[in-house]
Amino acid sequence: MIRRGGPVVALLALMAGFGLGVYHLFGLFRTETTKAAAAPSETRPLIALPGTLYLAQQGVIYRLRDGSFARFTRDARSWSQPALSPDDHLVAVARSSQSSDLYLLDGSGAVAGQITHNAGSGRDITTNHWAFYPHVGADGMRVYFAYDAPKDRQQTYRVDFAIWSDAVTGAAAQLRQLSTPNDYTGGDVSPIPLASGGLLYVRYGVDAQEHIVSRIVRRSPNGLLTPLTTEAEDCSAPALSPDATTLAMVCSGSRSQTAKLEVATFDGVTLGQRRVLIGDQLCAVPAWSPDGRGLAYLAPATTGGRFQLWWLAGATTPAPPPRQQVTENLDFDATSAPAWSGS
Amino acid sequence: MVAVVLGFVVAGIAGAVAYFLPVAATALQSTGQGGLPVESTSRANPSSGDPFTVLLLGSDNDAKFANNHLLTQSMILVRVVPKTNQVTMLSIPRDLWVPITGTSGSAKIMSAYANGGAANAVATVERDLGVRVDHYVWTGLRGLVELIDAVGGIDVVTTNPVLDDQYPADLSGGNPYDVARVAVLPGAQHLDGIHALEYVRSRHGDIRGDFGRSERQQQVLLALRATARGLSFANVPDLAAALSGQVSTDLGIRQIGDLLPLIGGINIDSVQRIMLLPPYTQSAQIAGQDVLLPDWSRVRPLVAQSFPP
Repeated sequence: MIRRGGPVVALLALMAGFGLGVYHLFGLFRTETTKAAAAPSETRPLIALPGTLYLAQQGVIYRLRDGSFARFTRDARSWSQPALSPDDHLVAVARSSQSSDLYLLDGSGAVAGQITHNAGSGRDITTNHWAFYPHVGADGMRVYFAYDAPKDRQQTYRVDFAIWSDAVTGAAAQLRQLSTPNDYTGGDVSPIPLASGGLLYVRYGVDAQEHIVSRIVRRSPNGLLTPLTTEAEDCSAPALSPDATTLAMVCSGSRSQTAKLEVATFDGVTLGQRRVLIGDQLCAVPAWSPDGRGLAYLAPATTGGRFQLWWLAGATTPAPPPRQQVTENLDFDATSAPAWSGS
Repeated sequence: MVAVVLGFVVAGIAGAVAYFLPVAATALQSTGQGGLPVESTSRANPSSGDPFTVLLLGSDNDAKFANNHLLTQSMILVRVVPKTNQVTMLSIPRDLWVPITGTSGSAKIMSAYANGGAANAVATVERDLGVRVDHYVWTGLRGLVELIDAVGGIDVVTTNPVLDDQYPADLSGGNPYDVARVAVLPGAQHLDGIHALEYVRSRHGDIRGDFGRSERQQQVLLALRATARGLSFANVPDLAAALSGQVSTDLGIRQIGDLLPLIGGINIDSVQRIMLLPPYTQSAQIAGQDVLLPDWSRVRPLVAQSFPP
């Protein structure tokens, strides 16, 4: 009986295995969509970049130095948007569900001070505030940022960013509002203080076709505003080269689902001739290398993919070499520009 | 010998059936929903190769509403010309003040669904805008979130900072009237389902109100299509599982299958996107409600031109 039944059982097992195999065979044709991104510190970059880069992924700031990633922030806060400070500290954003604050981080990634205090009190969530896009002035004394203040207590639907500055120490008496946003547009973001005392930032407004578009504007030291880009260009994410002579930016063109990396010469007042460096990727948040020759930026490697780090050498030359992909299988926060230090 | 071969064939079929089981379950549950007011034979069949229209309906299917009294916060009429891969999208503002089919009066068009489901929403759009609607697809908030997560997220160039201090916090299972603060930052980025929903659902902080939101909804639909293009047939069970109970359509499973290659062939840059901005509509207050009054002398010719029979 056992002798006769054995082959039958084996055959049935083979059939079951075959069925299971067919099931898994279909699975092999699946495009992987839900695979979690690796932590940068568990990967190696595809190419080495000079200096030290700080990048944010899923609430953690990582440091890329000497060809390897290391976790920089270690506490449980959700960190993003690192900005260099002249004294080798960083200012970065810690975001919670209802507010965000700027913090000063020391060279080990530990909190050295809290600059803003935006958590509201009580049950009224509108008493909370957001602070984003920090940029430390050249003297290291003041930080410029986007801040959703003042709030309109009568019109609680109106929440727009304005550009503010504060002492890096966070002394409340030194808080200054530097822009007045267009109402109900999202407001003003991405400030870059200029050595002249002026300021570059991105200003959102509504064009004649009723689309919300962005323009990069220059605010003179006495408060006069000059648009540097047009509404039709829809440019944002400005990054000024270390010698302040070239501006990198991302331009979408009104309503299009594109984000081109462009550069233009900058004489401190106006933009000169501009060039599209990358026109076939969704580019985000460019950052200049410390020597001002190349640009790092974030972009997906595939349609619908997560954002990776890319490097473009010779960004100021007429014919830059092809871009190079620096990371793969990571998930960088594309609203968080890399901070790039020469040391 | 024949029995052995047959056994392997049966085992293989069983393996395939098991793999595609979520598709079958969702298909049985969500597709082929009837109830459209005109005989189905007079409606264009996506499988035929002829131009056809689909009304996309999106609802707040949260605890604030009974399931059969949902409002449609989003109504997008899409026309596809399969031979040329040409696509036209018309966002119908939810506050558009129109006669509602099945009632004796006028109301915001978003209430048509609450007065008779998708069939009534379709009938209202057909009668008021003078357009033929061949099919509909309805989804709730969770359906959009889970669909976007099932494709691994989408890449969107968010147009501006979307800030909202009164965003409905109704997906967390707590008090459906709770609100939360939302800040979606601008620029190219990868969004998961929850953040994509924040981007398309928030409207309080947008000077264009519902128009701004409609524009963002069209944008996310196109991004979803771009991502879906990279998927294979073997991803369909995952998508079906994600949409289980979150979607309903009158389209049959075979028609949906015929649509998939069409979706892949659409060139996003050539999609015509239409919004009923002023002068096609104008803001007004009726019975204490903020509404949009249509200028039918402008709206109907626009719709007729963009959605020919």
